[in-house]
Amino acid sequence: MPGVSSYEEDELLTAIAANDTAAYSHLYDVYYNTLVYFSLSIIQDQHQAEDIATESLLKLWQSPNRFESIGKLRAYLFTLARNASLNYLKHLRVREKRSLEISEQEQHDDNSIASLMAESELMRLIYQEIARLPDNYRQIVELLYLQDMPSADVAAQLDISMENLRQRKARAIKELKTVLLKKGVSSQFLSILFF
Amino acid sequence: MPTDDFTSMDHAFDERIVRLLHQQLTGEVLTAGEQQELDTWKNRSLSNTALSEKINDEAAVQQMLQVWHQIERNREQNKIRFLSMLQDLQHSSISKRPLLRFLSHRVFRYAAAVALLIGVATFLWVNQRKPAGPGNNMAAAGKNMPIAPGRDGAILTLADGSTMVLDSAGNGVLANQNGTSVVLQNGQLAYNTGDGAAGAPVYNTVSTPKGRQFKLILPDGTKVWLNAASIIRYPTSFEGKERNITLQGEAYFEVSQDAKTPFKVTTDEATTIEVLGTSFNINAYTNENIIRTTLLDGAVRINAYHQTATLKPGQQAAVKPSKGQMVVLNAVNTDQVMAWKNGLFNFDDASLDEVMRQLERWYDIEVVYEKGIPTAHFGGEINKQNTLQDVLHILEGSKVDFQLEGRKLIVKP
Repeated sequence: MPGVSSYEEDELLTAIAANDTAAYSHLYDVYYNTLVYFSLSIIQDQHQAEDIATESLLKLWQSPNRFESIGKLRAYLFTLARNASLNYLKHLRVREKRSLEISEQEQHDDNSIASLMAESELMRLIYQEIARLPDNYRQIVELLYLQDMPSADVAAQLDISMENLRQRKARAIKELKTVLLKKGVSSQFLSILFF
Repeated sequence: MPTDDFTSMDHAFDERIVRLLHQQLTGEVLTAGEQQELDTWKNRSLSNTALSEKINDEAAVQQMLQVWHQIERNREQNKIRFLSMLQDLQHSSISKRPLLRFLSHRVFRYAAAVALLIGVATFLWVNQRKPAGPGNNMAAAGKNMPIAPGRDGAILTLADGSTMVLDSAGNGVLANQNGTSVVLQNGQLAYNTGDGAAGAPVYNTVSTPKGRQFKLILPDGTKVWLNAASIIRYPTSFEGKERNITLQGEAYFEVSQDAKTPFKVTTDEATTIEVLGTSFNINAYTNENIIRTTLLDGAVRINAYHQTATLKPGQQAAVKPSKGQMVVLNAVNTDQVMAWKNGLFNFDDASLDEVMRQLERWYDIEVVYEKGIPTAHFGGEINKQNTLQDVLHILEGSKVDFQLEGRKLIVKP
């Protein structure tokens, strides 16, 4: 994830209302992945979810509102993404005539949507920890953990020996640990990550 | 039943909960107060309880991060697209448009009426991840999954900013735009002005993502075949002395005759193609460094970077925005230019990266070169209805090796 430029809340809200392109670029960096993840969890189609997230941000651009807080803006974006996702599902349902298969538990009610919003934002925070690692370590974590590639394939792709890979993986974990410890975090996260 | 919007939600509370969950996941010790706050949240709904349990399950966390990672991998490219769409909107509207119809209650009635398909409880990956072990992981499973070819489909953005997914299944009137009805017939979009005079024109946009193509008929009867990863913007009724539209990506046009009102296509700030009843193809992808306009029939005039050229059938104007240059090529291979519309890839004398960019757009994949771009040239035609694996199999005859991991294609020398 690229470095996200910082904005004062008020400055950002004004820039967004004024359709400042740089502010939208920033907004994209902050919300895009979260919105895709959120929509994807509802509709199970990454392609469409990406379109929905993009469309939601474009709609914000077209809206004449100046939001009074980032919280309201966030709520608005999630609302757009939720509606588009539900609409898409409705569309699918009509097409596939699958209405009979829907059960009580499968409803997206306010509670499940709210919890999904929390999950989407949580994922962003966790992924950031990995994204902040130095490149050579991050690469290892991405291949082994995020892409679930077998160690032998990772070694082949990076053109290093298995022994070399093991060492680099150990250093990556150490690095991650240092980063987390600086934040006053215990290493339980690492055991979740790697073992 | 879903509420209208979330603007009444307590953002500060949500933010705090997310932070506490993050702390819990990273093993930080919570204060008694924090723990209590988290417990209150957890007991508020079954979904919250489920989420709280999920983040303590390492396999589930890994899956969630893998989903995120897939999103991240397309992010840069999608951002470029997003910014170019913004630019489009910027050029098209001086004043902001009214608030979207999207927030009207109609939509919410839908949402409420729809008992939805897939629950959050079924979560992100249907397949339960098996314990890690050689040959027993998701990447390996992905390798064997055939990647299906693209198909018909697009997204229509109406004048008020609301969007609709278009595909081959639906039929009927989709919307009314100032007296003009927008109709979907057998998977193609058309406009009916009806008997009454149309109101002031408003703009609609049709965009295809990677892996989709689409056909539409503009309000003047002009037929447009839109290739994958392309965007076309046009008024719902053509007024005035010119018919102006904008295009990004690739499209083939059969312009309906109207000598009095020239049809003009703008592809970037400096390039306009002016036509009078004719058929031609424009390839103006931002990731191809040349904008190619190929004339099949009739006559077109290209204005690009202060230069002008008039094409005869069979000629192609190649505009290089980076250099602000235009060259006219004679006797181009129009079969090759039109192959995409006719359901084919034509790789005659194409370089490897040209071929790969076409595959990226049609199969919605990402191509990575392990060691630079090998110099390989290809020939022949391949049916676009093949799966990606079949196409790669055919291409492998040309001294290149491919390795597919999910939707990432690695090219090896």
